[in-house]
Amino acid sequence: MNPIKVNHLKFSYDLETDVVNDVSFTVEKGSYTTLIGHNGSGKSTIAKLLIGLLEKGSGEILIDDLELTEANLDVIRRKIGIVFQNPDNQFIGATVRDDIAFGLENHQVDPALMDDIINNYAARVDMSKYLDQEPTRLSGGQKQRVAIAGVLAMKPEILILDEATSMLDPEGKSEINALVNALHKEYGMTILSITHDIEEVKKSDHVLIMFDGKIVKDGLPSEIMIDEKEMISLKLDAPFSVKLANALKRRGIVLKETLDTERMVAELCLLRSKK
Amino acid sequence: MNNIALGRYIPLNTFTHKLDPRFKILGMLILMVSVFFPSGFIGYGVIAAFVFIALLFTKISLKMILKSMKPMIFMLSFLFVINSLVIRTGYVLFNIYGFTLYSDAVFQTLYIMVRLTLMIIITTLLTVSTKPMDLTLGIEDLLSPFKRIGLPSHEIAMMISIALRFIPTLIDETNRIMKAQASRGVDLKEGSFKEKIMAILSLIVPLFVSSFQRAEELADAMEARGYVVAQHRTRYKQLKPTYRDTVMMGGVLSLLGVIIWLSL
Amino acid sequence: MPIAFEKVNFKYAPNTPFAYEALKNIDLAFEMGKVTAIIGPTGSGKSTLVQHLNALLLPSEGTVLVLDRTITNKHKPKELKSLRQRVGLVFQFPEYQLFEETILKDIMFGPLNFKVPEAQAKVLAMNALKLVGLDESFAEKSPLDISGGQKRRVAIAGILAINPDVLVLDEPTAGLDPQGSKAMMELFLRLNKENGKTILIVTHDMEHVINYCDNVVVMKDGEVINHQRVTDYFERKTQVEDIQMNLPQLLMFKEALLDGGFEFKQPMRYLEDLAEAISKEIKR
Repeated sequence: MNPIKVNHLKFSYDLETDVVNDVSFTVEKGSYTTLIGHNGSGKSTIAKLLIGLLEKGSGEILIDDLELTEANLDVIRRKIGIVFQNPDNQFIGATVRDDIAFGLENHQVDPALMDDIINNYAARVDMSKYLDQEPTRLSGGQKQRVAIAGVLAMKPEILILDEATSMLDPEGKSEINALVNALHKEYGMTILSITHDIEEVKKSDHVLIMFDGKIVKDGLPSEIMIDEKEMISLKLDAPFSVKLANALKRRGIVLKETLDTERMVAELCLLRSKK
Repeated sequence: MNNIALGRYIPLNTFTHKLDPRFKILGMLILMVSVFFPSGFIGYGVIAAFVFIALLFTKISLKMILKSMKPMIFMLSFLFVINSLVIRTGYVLFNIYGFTLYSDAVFQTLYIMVRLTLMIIITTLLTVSTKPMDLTLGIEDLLSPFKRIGLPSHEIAMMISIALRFIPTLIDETNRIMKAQASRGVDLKEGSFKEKIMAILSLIVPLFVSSFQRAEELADAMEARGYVVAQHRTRYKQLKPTYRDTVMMGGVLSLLGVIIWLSL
Repeated sequence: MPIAFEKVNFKYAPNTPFAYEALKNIDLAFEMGKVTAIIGPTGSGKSTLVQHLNALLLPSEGTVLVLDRTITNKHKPKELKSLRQRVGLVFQFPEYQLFEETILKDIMFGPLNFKVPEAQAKVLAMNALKLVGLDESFAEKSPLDISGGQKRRVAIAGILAINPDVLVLDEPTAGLDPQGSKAMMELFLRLNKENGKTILIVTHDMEHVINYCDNVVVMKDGEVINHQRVTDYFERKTQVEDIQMNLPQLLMFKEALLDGGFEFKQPMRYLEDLAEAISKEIKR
């Protein structure tokens, strides 16, 4: 059973150009999958299709082997949580407490149970101290943590991050990355992260690259990210380590490892001591 | 910016703050009604005494209220001038240079002044002691009987609360766009009529565009979290009346009784 | 002609319970004709600082010198327009300030406000469009019908068309994809090298600081805690770690290699510098 399976998915806003053009991919259970691509490649459209915010043109979307249709939209949305890019535009409640409650109210949770759930998930994202704060008093990173708490409170199996850190400062970014990593490792949550952050991609289990509406690469970061020329041709950037390895290659130093910083450093130190 | 202080929620923990917002709104409405009864100056005295006690219970200083009423002085003096020229009933108070001031002109102005002051204080009492969100909840509940005739009370409350939630965000946004356009040479104070129109457009168009985008993203976020219009939801915040509400309603209703009796 | 802050304090909402001191005792002189990065944690005063440069904010205390103008709190500066014509400020997410029917009109809006004759404004606008890497076919399109990255370029062109001597940019690459932001940074570098513009960039991206900037101003809690050449600033990682910023990749590699026994003597800034130094050490 795969959390997400997409077959020959097509979508177009204007019935002329396909923003998503015959896309097929699988996200495996418990994996940390990253989806990257240039601006306008169709990544965010995929996310909206997966949770049924947009209606597909053709093809099929299977969530836990269940096909996404109008009829079971509600069931599927309980399985997938999504965090969007702009922290301000997804904070619905007047306070942190009310915002976490919003999803619970929608799912008709008994109000008597809500306080415990809210306290529990606020603690999970380390926002217990801010329960009665208004969003204007929170940083971008804190707002995104609240968004994650709101999603977690609905106990989804899959978490989609749609450029959730791209509007945050470095501190907020690392807060969110650490939190998502913990959710992945400790709870075994399936993560699909749409991102521009090459370092995040390097650490992921699986990477999908989109280019002009199509998935053009699908595999392990260690296989895909090491081709500098290809990454550039896909309007992306290669990791610094890969670029450095290539610069060294031009100088006659060929390394086995070109992605993992630590191993590269170890290899270089070994080369140096041999001389 | 300092004038916004009038009527803004002040987080305290007083008797009034702890009242159930539904009863607080009802209480306010009853007080308003009593102000409109022609109960004479004795009646207004009674209401004023009641309101004064309410102020004490809410820990609002009279000074703050008086300060916030300053802008009204101009309007009231204007009203007084008009009244003294127009109203020619009652007894003559004095006569200088052919101008006669009648007693009713003074009384009429005083009446209006007292009514206005009382009404402002009464609304301030409510808004200062109730979080905007709780006000919305109160309004939602009070409107819920009208659901039967098709009034979407929950949706109305949701709309109000989202509007409240986004006011600070939109103020920030407006400030940013104003500064950005000022950097492009926009000057709202100078320039020809046509330039002023352009200057205003350069603020309003971007504000609309970004608000629509926000609205769209917000709608997506709400939907993704399981919100469906007109579908039943539970409510996290439950309103529970306490003995305080009984005391307050008892007080307000007896006041209304006294006022009606005085007006007979 | 300098850009300098002399003992500048700035308070938001003075004399209210919300009063907040955003800038404290700033003494700072920017080097003209260079690209300077302004970095620091959120809320450290970076945006407040740059808004003093075209008198959108006036110092609560102290003096700001911008080109030939002296800005203080005492007398309201007159003729702000001439100052704003020479110091162009681009805010975060500038695409939100587009409003005209066509891209050309939107870019011409600035110059026209500054009383540039229409024909000349058009020439300036077309040049600016070319500078940001968009061709003439964009001129008659609506600014609302293009992609996010293109909108950003159009918005920046709207400031470039005013032809300011000093260009101040507040996080100009936020939200762009890697190639989009690289192209943007290269544009600023070109404006500096070829057109001699003084460029000030508020940024969180340390890769941009090390790759494109000459100097760096570091802010923390409303104060300037560091101001030096980029090459000097990135000599030691402790300085960078002080303000909770990510180290640039180059510095991370360099530090790891130093710990592993490598000895680098020369300062380095670009990837090629590091590759060269490594190969020298290994082949020695």
